[in-house]
Amino acid sequence: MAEPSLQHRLKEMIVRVLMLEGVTPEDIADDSALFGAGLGLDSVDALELAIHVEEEFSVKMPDDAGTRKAFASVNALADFITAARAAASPGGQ
Amino acid sequence: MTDFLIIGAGPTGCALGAYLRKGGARVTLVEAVEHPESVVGESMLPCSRVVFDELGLDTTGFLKKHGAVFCQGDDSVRFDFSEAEDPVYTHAWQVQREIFDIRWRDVAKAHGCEIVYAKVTDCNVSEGSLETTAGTLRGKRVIDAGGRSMWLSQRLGLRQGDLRLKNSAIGTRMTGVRQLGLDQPGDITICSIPGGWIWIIPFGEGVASVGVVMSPSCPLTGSPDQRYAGALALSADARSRLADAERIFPWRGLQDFTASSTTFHGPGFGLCGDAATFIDPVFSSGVLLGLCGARMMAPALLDGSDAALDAWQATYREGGGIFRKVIDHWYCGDFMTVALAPPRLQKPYFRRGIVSLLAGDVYNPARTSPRRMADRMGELAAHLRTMSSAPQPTPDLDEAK
Repeated sequence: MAEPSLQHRLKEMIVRVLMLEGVTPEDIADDSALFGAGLGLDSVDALELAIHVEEEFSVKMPDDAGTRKAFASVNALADFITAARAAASPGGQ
Repeated sequence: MTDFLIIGAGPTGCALGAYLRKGGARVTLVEAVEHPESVVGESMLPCSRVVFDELGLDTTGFLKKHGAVFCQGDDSVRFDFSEAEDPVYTHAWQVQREIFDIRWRDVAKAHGCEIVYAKVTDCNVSEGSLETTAGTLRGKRVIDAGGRSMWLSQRLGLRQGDLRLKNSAIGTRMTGVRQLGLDQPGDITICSIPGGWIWIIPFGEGVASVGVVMSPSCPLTGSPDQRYAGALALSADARSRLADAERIFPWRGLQDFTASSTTFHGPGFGLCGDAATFIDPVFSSGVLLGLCGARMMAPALLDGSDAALDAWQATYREGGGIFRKVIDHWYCGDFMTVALAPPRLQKPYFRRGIVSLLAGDVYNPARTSPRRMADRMGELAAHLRTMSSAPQPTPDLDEAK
């Protein structure tokens, strides 16, 4: 079996870290909004999620506006992590 | 001649003695008080139970404690130990210390510790000798597990007071204490008041340990009865629970000065429990830290090397340090801000972190939530204050589902 995609790992993390009841990783679409009308997360959740993203993916979350943009959707978060890792790795830009 | 001379046959000294005996060492406990009295430290935490179980403590007759209720102003919240991160134990007990301490002595004796009833008058750690009212006792190492007076630590010049936490307390026992809506039988209740807090620890049938802790900024003055009345005037929750309560013990006054020792061991000596480091009792952590400290200290003492004792000390301090951080969050109000967050902001992951702390799960490296909560509570509280004081929830973050 192939390694789970970054998107899937993020969905699994969101459900686990935020202890979302009645939500499975499969329920979260790659491009649907995590906050507000989408999954219904709020800024307290963002704070918690940011800590775990930093710990589990060894990236530094930007402040406020940047964090909000990175948390727009699972795809946005995956793009952010991929870009942050590329920038941090010696072979990156 | 014995291997280990332990000052104090309280829970910490007895548990340490029993673990050392299991390792084959000879142990003598020296205890000044033959008939233990009621002392504070009556509310146990679930994670202490690993020590109870390993050493076979008899808990018959103690009231089971399944959770804790915190009150402030008109708000209150209950936490149940089953909400902790992967809980092993989901209840503890409220214990009358005059009974509990005797049972610990029974444990020590059952494991083959000798108990000498005498008062320690002098100590020469380099020679491993104690002068007592029953004569000179000799061992290879002297351990002070004699509680918050920190006798040996003081004597060796190791005690350092924590200038931020110099609280005082009054405590007694009462009858006719009521439970309120949220309470489950056996819950501890902590009511926050300006500059302090009130504890109610039930023993069943309306009998409870009741007391008030006051920081230097607390406005209460006068006799214990006056200070108690003043404290009740500041807490509707405590007032309702104690409306018909009557005192059945004299008031006892205590100094809850948080303090620690610069080192917990050295040539010929060791320190464990409150005798090593005493922290504010708001989370009932004292007995847990003493018992877990003893459990981890025994192998290090049997090993006897500085490296083993240094490693023990680092681990032991770290667990106490987690409580120490949360105690700062308590006195600056952040703990209650997070604990009493409005329902829409009450996140299950906060509760899990808080309950794991309240359960005393600070020595299991696999548990991340208590540590994380201790580290982040300030940030979280600041964020919650901003959110709850906002006149309208910001639409992009709090739109209805």
